This record gives sequence, structure tokens and C-alpha cells, in this order.
Amino acid sequence: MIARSESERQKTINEFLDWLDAHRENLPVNAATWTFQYIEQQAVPEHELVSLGKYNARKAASISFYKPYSKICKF
Amino acid sequence: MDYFLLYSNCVLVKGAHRATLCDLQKGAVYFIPKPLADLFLEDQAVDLVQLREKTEGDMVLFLMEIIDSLVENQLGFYTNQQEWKRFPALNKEWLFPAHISHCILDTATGRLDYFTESFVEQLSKLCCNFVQLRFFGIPPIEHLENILRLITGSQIKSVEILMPWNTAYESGCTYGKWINDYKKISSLVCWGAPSTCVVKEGARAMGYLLYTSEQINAATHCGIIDQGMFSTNITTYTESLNFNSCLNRKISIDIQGDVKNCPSMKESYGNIGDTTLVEAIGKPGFKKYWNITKDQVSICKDCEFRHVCTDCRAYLEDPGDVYSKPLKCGYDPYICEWAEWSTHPLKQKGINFYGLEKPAF
Amino acid sequence: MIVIHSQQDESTTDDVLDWLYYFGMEQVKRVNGTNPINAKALRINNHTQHSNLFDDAESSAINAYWYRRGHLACEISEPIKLGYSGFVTYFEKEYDHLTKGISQVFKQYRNINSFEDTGTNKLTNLAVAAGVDLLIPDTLVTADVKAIKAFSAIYPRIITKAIGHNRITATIDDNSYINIAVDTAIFDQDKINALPEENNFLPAVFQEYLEKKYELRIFYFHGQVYSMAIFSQLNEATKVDFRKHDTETPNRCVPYQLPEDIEKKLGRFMQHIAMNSGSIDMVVTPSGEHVFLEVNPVGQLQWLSANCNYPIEREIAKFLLHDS
Ligand code: SF4
Ligand code: SF4
Repeated sequence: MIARSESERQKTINEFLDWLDAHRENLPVNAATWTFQYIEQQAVPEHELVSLGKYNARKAASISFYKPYSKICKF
Repeated sequence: MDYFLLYSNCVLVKGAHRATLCDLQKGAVYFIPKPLADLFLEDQAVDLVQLREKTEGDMVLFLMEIIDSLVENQLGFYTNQQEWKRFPALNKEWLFPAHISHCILDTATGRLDYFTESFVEQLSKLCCNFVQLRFFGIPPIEHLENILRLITGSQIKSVEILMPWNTAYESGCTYGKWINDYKKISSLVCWGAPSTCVVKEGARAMGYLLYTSEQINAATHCGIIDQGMFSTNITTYTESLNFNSCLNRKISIDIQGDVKNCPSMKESYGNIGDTTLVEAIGKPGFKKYWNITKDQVSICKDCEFRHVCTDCRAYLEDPGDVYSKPLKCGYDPYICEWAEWSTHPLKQKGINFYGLEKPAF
Repeated sequence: MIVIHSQQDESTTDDVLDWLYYFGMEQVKRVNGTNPINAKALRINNHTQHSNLFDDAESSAINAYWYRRGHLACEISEPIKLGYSGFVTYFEKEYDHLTKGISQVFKQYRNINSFEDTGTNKLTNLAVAAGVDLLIPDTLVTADVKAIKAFSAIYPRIITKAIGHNRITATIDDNSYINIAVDTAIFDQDKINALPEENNFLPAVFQEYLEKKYELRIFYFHGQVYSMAIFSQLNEATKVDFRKHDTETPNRCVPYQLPEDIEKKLGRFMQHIAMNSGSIDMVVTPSGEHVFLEVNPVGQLQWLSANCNYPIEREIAKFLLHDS
């Protein structure tokens, strides 16, 4: 997927904010405190996920061991 | 506010000459002078009224300044006796559900032919989800990729790999490709490289590619004690209180295929050719080092690093005494100084015993 | 057979599985994500055989059930959705009924939570909490600007939050959206003054702002209580809502011992709302009062067990194994 250009993104956000402003009085009374984030879905492709066999889990990243396995080299 | 109370995941560890304050939540270690460490009640709180009464003039100011800075660094807070009751000490249990927590596999030839589906199944039965592969010879690409593919589909959570650096793999971008393709690699360390550097920075301790110019061609290189390897977290801390910091729940297979607690140990519990891991573990003696805690090891028991430090029972200062301090530690907790262990006069006995005089290559 | 309804990337589920495997239990079925109920069969008779609820997990062989996360949903096809709107409204109501029914069925097994718990109501929960003598913040739900002004006049500061759901996904197109977070926020005088009195607003929640010594995250689980104090006041970023994680300087999180009477009241509260497990948020005020905020049936657990070294995952596993 090609990411949007910065200006295109800004335009989308502005359009959205304008829409909010236009309908402010029909939205929840605390809408002024909402925070926004523009998100382009970059879901990790299925084959990039780490799978954990019998755990039936698929995750974006696995976890490391909590201590050094052996003490054979320094870093 | 007549008490200073440590946050309970910041633990005080008293040494002979000073103490450490180990922040187990954020993974940092601070030093605390002995006079202050001695004032702690139940290793948790300082009675500030008592501090003022029992300490000499200048000292009060000095200690109060340290306490202020501890508060500022968010290691503890001012409170009263009433509130202290609401903040119990940390649970000391080691909570790690595994009969075997990690496994080291050594090979001199670059092959680990016993690493098959049924071997992974053996690890799975033992709840062993963390594996380290130490290649002292170059693994053929196809062979290593087979192993990595087995790991990919399995319950194994991460694998650390050590192998010799070589030009052909370098120019073929093999190392980088492995790191990219096999997401369960926590780090791939290539030894004997032209320089020591981080080739690819990982994230959250996963996906690192590291080169070292050191020649790590045999298990005898293991047993290093170094501040860079300390780990400051609750799992390490609670394990060190209850079990051996290195050998607890460890299983290894040395270059001969002998199943051992650690590859550098003499005692073998059968060969992987004709013994299962469960059989080896069940033999008397396999777990004999598992319960030796740092509090029982001479010198270490007086060391302020003992609950973040690693341990080693394979290379000892006094090879005849299982409770002896690790040979390859150059730290002296009585004067708080690090020295080079290999040239230390007191270490020569151990060095000769294990045949470590000459570089092992 | 133990059935766990979760998501594929839910790590507390992995941690509990670690313990189940450690205790030698291999008969576990983890079902992930949204489970369409279209293909499920619920059979009700005098022998209570609930066939085919979770694929091959023969329901008669289920010994325990844990609802961790994820959905039970009915899939309504696109052409129907785009047709006459009354259909969709009807189908949604109709299959919501079935979803609730299925959740209820799972409550007959030894269970931890049920899908139904996700529908717990934050407003009625406040009322129930007050009913068992837990302190709650003074709360106003309204769209009436005059009422908000009068309310804000009583307190030095007020906050606002969502009524029940704090996230809006405003779809832009197939692969982008705007995520709107309706987090707890200070509702200051400027914002109040800016509100026109003649309007057509939708309601929101307003509460007195509570000064905090620390916040509490409490995991309640079949009568067991694990509490953690969060020193959120130390970090500006997390002062109002500690869930806004500050990754640079994470809040200090340590084990906390609740006063016995509060623990008892929380137990009674959970019994009243018929939820056997949940994550409760509370605040401790500078004068030491414990104030109830809300309960979340599917809250984060690793955060608690990892910072406090609580054996929560082990206890969950033991419960599922009928060993507690
Ligand atoms: S006991 Fe020593 S040699 Fe063996 S794995 Fe531990 S540190 Fe290495
Ligand atoms: S003396 Fe050395 S090996 Fe022992 S605990 Fe201290 S640093 Fe570690």
C-alpha cells in the first residue's frame, strides 16, 4: 500500500475537523476534549506474525528470555 | 511524614561495604552508602525521627540529602506508619512456569542433527520455550534454516544464536536475511568478525545482529561475570533468592551430544543419541546445583550485586568447593573494585585447574 | 477440555497457557477473535446438551470456560445491510439475544467472565457501588449546558468522559481512519463557557475532579483480590488518566493492601453485578479515602502481575483446573 503524502493527509484531517466543527452542536457536549489520531492501516501481514505453536497465538513480536542464557561473550 | 519508604519493586541489597538499590520495575541499579543502608527497617523503610536522633550532626544532612534524591528519582516516598501498612513487601516467589526454562545446544561441527520435530516436542513437554544455539563451527545454510523453520512453527518463544563469522555468509547477506526472515531470533552473534559492532539494532530485545571480533570457539569461554550481563528484573531477582542464578531449570547438550546441566560441567546424564531429556533430568544429581543460591556462595553473599548478577558453578575460584565464588569474577565487594580476573594471583589455581591459561584457540 | 475465548495476540492468555501446560494440562482449546454464531448450534433440552458452540470442542466435554476477549457476533451479509434499514435493526436485536443466550450457557460451566460482561454498564455500576457504601465521585450525565454550569460551580474542577465507550473509529476509506479517543479529560471553565446554551448536544459524563494520592488497579477474581497502587501524580502526562501511558517515565506501580472493609465492599459489589472477575479502578485521595471509579471485565493483567509479582496467571490456571 502506498502511504498518503503529507499534504493529502493534512487535507483529510482538515476536512474531518471542519465536519466536526460544522456539527459541533449535534455531537456530545464534551466533544471539545476529544483527541485524534490519523491512522493508515499497516496491519502486519499475516506471514510476518510470530506464531507460538500449540498456544494458538500469533503476535507482532515475540519475547526474549529474561536473563542471559550463558555467559560466553560480552556486549 | 516520619518515614521514608522504598517502592516495593525497588529492593535494597546490602553488601559488605555498600548496598545497591535495585529498581526492578525500570531496570536500574543505584548505590546506597552503608550508613544509610544500615538504617533501613525490614529493608524497606527509614524511620526519619530515629535517623535524626541516632546520627551525628553532619551525617544527618548528608543522609537526608540522599533520601531526598531517592524521592526525586522516584525510588521511594515519604509516608507515615499508618500508610506503610498499605504497602507490603514484594512477593518473593519465583513465578516462572517451566520444568526447564532454557536450553543450550553446543556444536563443534556446525550441525545439530538431533534437532528434529520430536526433539522440539521433548522441549515442549518440559515447557522449555527459550533456546540458545552455540555454533563453534560454521552451520551449513540449509541445515540452520531447517532448524529455524522448526522453531518458527513451534511453541519456542525465542532463540539466541552464536556462530562463527565467515566471508561467504557476509557477502551473501545471509545473516541479515536470517534476522529478517526468522522473527523468533532474539540475537544472532557472529564471533571472529573483523570488528565488534551492532550490525542491526533490534527492538525490545528481539532481532539483534551483532558482530564480535573475539574468538568464541569453545564452551570454556563461558562463565564470564560482567556488569553488562546483569539483569535487573523481578524474575531474575526472585530466582536468585530461591535458586541458582545460572543453572536452575537449565538443560544443555555439549559438543559430544552429552546431556548436562551446563555444557562446561563434567557430569553427563546420558547421550542425546540414546537418552531423552526427561530421562536425563530424572537421573540423580542432575539438579544438584539448582538450589545453590547467591546467599550461600562465599564472597558473593557479601556482594551488593548478588541479586542482579549471573552466577557460574562450572568455573570456580576454588574448584574443590561448590560454594566457591565464580572464577571469572574480578569484583571485590569488600573494597568495591573491579579487577581483571585472569591475571589475579588468587585466581591462578582455578585457571590452571580448568586449563584456561592459554587462549583456548 | 478447557475453552478459552481470546484474541490471537492476547499475551495474558499465553501466560495462563504457560501455567496450564506446566501443570500438565494439554486439553485446551483457545478460540480467537470474532466468532460468528451463524454456524453454531445451541440445543436446549432436559439434558442440557449445548452442541457445537465452539467448533470441535464438544460442549459436553467442557470442564471450564474463560472468556478473556474477543467477540461473539452474527454476520449479516452486505446486501442485507444495504437493503431496508429495518431489517438490520431487527437482525441485530434478534442475534444479540442469541449471543446473550450463548454467553449465559457458558456460565453453567466453571467459568471466568462471560461475553455478556463486556456489556456491563458504567452508570449502573456507579449506582451499585454507592449502594454497597463505596465512595463514588459525584457524577452528572447530561447534555444540558445549564446543568453542567451549575455542577461545575460546586467543585473547583470537573472532568468529563465517555458514558460507556471511549473510542470512535471514523472511517475515511478502506485503509485509513481517524481514531478518536474519548479519554478522561479536565473540563475547564473556558470549555464550559464556550458551550452555547441553545443547542442540540448529545449527553456526556461529568464528574468532580478528585485529587489523588495514587490510583489503584484492583484485579478481583472469584473472591481473590490483587491490588496495585499507581503513582500517577508523579508524571504530568498521566495525572488525569493513568491509562495514557508515559513510556519515557512509566508510573511507579507497586503492590497495595486494601483496607479490609473496602475489600469486603468490592466483593459485595462484584456479587451484585454478577461478575466473577474484573479489573477495578479506584482512587485514593490525599485524605486517604478510597473512591470507586469503574470495573472492566477484560482489563490488562500483565501490568499488575509483572509489576507486583502477583501469581494471578497461576491462580487463573488453577481455577480452570478445578484446583482452587
Ligand atoms: S555455569 Fe558457568 S559455564 Fe555453565 S552456563 Fe553458567 S556461566 Fe556458563
Ligand atoms: S562477587 Fe562477583 S560473582 Fe559474586 S555476586 Fe558479586 S559480582 Fe557477582
